[in-house]
Amino acid sequence: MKRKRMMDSMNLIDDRYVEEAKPGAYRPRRRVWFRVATVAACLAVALSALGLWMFLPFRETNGDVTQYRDSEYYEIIRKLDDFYQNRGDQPRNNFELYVSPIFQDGIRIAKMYSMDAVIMESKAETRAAGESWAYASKENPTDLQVSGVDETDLIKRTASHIFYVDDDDFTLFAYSIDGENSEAVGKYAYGGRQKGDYQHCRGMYLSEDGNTVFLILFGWDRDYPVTKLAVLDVSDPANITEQKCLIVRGSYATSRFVDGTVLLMTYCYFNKTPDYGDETTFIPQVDTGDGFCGVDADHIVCPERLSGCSYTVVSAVDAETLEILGTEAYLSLNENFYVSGDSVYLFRLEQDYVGLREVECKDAEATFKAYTYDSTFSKTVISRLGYRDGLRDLGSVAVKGWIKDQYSADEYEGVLRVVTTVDSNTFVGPESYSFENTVNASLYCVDTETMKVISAIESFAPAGESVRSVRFDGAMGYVCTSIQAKDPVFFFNLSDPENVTYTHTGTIEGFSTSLVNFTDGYLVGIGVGESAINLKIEVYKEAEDQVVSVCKAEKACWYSDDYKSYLIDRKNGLIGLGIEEESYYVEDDCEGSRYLLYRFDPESETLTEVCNIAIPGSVDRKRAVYIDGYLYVMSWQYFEVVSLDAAAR
Amino acid sequence: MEDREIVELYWARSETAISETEKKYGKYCHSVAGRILSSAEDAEECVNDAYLAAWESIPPQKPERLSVYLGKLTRNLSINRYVRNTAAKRSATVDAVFDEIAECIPDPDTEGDRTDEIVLREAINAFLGSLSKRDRVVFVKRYWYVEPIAAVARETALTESNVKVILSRTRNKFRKYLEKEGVTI
Repeated sequence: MKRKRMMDSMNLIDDRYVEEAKPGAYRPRRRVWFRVATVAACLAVALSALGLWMFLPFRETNGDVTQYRDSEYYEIIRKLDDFYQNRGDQPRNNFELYVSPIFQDGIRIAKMYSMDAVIMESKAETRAAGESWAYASKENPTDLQVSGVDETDLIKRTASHIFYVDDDDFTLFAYSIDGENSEAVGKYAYGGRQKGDYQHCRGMYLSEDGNTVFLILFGWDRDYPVTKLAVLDVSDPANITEQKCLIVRGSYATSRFVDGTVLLMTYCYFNKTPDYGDETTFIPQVDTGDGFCGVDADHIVCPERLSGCSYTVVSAVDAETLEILGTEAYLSLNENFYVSGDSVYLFRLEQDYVGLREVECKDAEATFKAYTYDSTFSKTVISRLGYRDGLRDLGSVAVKGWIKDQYSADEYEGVLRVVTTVDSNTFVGPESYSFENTVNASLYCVDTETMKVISAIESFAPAGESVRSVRFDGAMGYVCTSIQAKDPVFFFNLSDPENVTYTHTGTIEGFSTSLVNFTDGYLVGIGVGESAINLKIEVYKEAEDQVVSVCKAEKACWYSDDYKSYLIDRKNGLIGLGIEEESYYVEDDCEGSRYLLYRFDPESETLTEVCNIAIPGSVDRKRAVYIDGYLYVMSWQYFEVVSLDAAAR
Repeated sequence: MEDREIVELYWARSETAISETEKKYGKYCHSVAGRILSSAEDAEECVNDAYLAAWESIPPQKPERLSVYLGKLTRNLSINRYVRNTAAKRSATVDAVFDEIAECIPDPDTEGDRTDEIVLREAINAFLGSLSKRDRVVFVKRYWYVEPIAAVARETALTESNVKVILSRTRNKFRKYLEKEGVTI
């Protein structure tokens, strides 16, 4: 601990000494003179080259875009051109780009570091006929948000085997399910740390018949991010082989697996000012089987106002043949996704500004001019993309605020319920150039047919509180908000979306980062207690028009807020997760990295710790599953089977 | 873009604040994190956490030297992540830095309540101010920037054995200085 404190005390070093020692800042005397002598010798040549570079004009790429009016992408071209034009006066040469701004206000071109998105053809042989790619196995340990819509996870299983992705070792493991006799029976190495290796697995799917694993990997093809869908034959877990793959050029965002189709969401970036005469410089390219071509203009959705020139691409991939069945591209980056039984909902955060003007401001040091807005506030644009019977854009709607994650949205009986954190900044005054920030939470109900808001409960939380966790369960919705380490939990009755009512717990210590609808109408909150290093698992129920806490368990430790890392077993009343106690990283105590399992008994309304074992690895990647009295626990280079005693069953 | 302008973007809660920060200081933050963490993924996460920490702390903070401010955030997060990482993710260089700096911990006979941070800051900076520029730069490069000996030697135009001798003498002086000042860690 003292070693770490001593290391931390180095942060007290004065800024000027830190800057003095910055790489490249220190010039030993003899080096300075050496460089001066070198520069003097090369000065004549360097000045000539510099002059040429400075004043050589940039290539005029596009000019008047009406010349492209016959292009199917003309509307997109106009919007992109508007976007680039409104980013400010474009410098004509490097002198205007780099030197002019020293003497006048100028606007630099933002050179985004980005990639083309290209779908590359699968290479291996096709799958044997008759093999099933239907919905995931009934033993699926992943607690799905939507029944029938499978999500990737590091763990999947059949009746006889567990498959686990050890991403620290770039290996898929297969373990037998045999109680205390369980063991690793096979493995497959999918990546590594060498250049060109795939370095991260984003999770896997498992076919219903348990014979095929679908791995989603992230890597780099030279300078381009790529997503690889690898199909593995696991019918013989001792001999796992790759059958075929699909490589998509683009950053992986998320995916779902529904009825034999993989819905793949990726990001496509373009890094240069586009040449509208060459669609590969501004339109995502798709491999149709006959070579690459741009996504049809009819399948590109453009917002009214562009905030960037990157795309979110949704592809429907046949899991059996890896054929791309359809593609829809959104000219915007969507940060979150929710997938229902028939639609992909994309969520894009935007900022709205009201009242741009120039003001004279002053602070403690100086008086200066600045552009400001009377107020700014965030909003989320929700787009609906139907995926049954082909990909079709079904409209969009905007709501105030931003969503935390996929659990903040849910579609039920034709209504999309969305919970957002709403925030706004109001310019207070020029004297201090400051803004007053307000934060709260809101719930919106959207008719999915018309994509219009039909009701809203706005700012329902105490002032300053943001949304920490959300869970919907049929006609009920649960929301936890907080400002620091205190929260209320709200219970919403959404049986009539146009007349929503709610109750809450009042302020209680801590807040939940995940809410789980558990057994018999109980709600479980997994989160922090009175401080950030205090795990709290609390069970709530609704009783007599109020919400009450029935029991809780607390422990001084860190935990993962990745929902997929939790064991949620409603049938047996079990909740499990990985933790790290303070001793683990302060004193390097390996025993401090652990896996906890609790059991909730609805009859006695108690939460009991039934297993607490030391296991290595990061909290995000620990996984466990309970099968017939045994807890199977997996982590980095680790597999253990724990027999739970009769009292814990 | 100037640091002042970027800080103003933060104050205005403009969505371009982070992108401008990344454009100007992305490589710098990555190099700070990358020296401490061997995993590119961990380093990337720490840099992103540093951006988030900057977003959440500005305002009310208004750093004058944004690079140093970001560097400190990144360094802190990286060291915390490093300490939490398992043995397989540890680095011989960083472990060596931890071991070396531990030599500066004052003698146990001066054990007592931990010294107040303000007093400790003054003591550390007074000591560094008493060093020659060369020795100070070597010390800060090793124990703030966590640079390997070879990199320190290259950037200061010294041999590796020179650097090791300078560090050893400086650590010794530092420990004695802290003991004389009655500082406890």
